[in-house]
Amino acid sequence: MNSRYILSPRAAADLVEIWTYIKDNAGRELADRVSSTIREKFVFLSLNPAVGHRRENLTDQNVGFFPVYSVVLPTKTRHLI
Amino acid sequence: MAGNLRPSLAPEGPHNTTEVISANTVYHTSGIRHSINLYFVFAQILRKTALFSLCRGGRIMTSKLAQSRVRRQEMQIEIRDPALQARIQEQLKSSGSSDMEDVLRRLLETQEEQDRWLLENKAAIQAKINLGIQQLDAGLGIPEDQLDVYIARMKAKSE
Repeated sequence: MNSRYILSPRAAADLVEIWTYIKDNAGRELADRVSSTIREKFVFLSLNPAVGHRRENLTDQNVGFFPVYSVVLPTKTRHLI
Repeated sequence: MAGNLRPSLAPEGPHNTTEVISANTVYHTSGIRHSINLYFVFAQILRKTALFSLCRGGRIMTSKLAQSRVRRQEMQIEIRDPALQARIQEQLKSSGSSDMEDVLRRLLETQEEQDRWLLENKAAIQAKINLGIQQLDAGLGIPEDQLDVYIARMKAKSE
């Protein structure tokens, strides 16, 4: 399988943190579903890199932001930060 | 002059205090062009004295001063993308609103709340972004095809 995106370990840690929080508070099924939806957005962003929007008041880095649930995903081309 | 009449309960004459002319919205959809046109008419708040219409002797008069001060700015937004148009229609339906300004206001409130949270946490977010970029630049990124294994290992650690 060719990788459509590359995730930073920092972002992976956030993903696991979100999953753990939901699992502990609302159960594993919901945690898995939310995690799966976020990962679907990773794929979506890799296929549509232009959809993220710049936030110049937040960072000088050349990254786009895209929301999923209440999470905001910073992206840099095919890299998820 | 349309939209510039004295409120019925307001005292007559040039010593009125404040008059707010409500914003008007025209919501129009065109099946041919798949577009939504929004017209926002903003009227400024008129304060004191002769900045409003006077109704005297059954005749409506508008002071020249009022005419010069009332500025109606129209903002036209044309949406050509049918998919985006459908999303807006869905927002109209789900919010039970028939007023596009209501929908826009609600979306802006949501966006502004997110912005507020992001800005309040700006330093932490910048640190995360910088760390993530450093990791990617150092070749430590996790390709999609290795993510399942990586995540499973981290989850196992957290349990």
